[in-house]
Amino acid sequence: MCVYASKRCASIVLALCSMLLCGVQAGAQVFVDNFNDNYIDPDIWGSPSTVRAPRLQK
Amino acid sequence: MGVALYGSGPQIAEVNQELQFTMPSNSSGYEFGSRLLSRFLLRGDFDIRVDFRLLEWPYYNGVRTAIGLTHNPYDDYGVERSSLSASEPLGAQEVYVADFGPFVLVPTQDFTGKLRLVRSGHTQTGYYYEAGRWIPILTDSAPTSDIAIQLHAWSHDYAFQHHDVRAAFDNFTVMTGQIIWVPEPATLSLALLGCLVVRRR
Repeated sequence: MCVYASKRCASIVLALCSMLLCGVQAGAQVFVDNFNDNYIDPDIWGSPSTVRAPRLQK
Repeated sequence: MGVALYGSGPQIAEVNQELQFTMPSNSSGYEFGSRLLSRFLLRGDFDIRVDFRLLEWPYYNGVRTAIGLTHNPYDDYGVERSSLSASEPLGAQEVYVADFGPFVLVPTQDFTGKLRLVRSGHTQTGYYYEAGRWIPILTDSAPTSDIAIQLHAWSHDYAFQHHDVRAAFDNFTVMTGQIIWVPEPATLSLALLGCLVVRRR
């Protein structure tokens, strides 16, 4: 019973997290990046690890 | 989404509380540059703006800077503060450019300023800022789907004049608009795992 309840609880938590992550935090708003961090904010612009090596040119 | 460098030479970094694009004089490539591609999408009508400063900018150096909309990390359409060199078909010019429809050039001597893109329904308008007011460059059709934005600086071998060039963007602002945050791949995996667990119940 207890195990069932905790599994059920975990599922609900995961479902809520999923809704938050996949679904979207939307709303009319003012948003600013002043570039004051001395690093490019991965929460806004993605992970720095996505920097690509220079591609070969013909 | 993310930070992208392409071609040989360009760099991008937050320095002195602004976003700096650097093109060393030996930069090269059919097209070379650096860009930030947003993790968020903009839905519906919106108004986005960015300030620019041309820190090291010999006249007619062949480098372009822009705020643009994009469905594709390798392409974008928007408003530019750009330098055209003598080796280009349009000749040497310092200009604002709207490049999302007919290619519209507005000559300028501005080394600091602001760029703005506004989407309203099926149209978008590109602006620059002069004497305390926004001057429209072009209104043309716009994609109506959710769309990412890019902050971008680039050049081409046929245009670049091999000067050291530096430009900076600051105060990127979504004045109005609906922001849709897109999860990073790792976060997305976790979310999908959560969905699967729920389905198994």
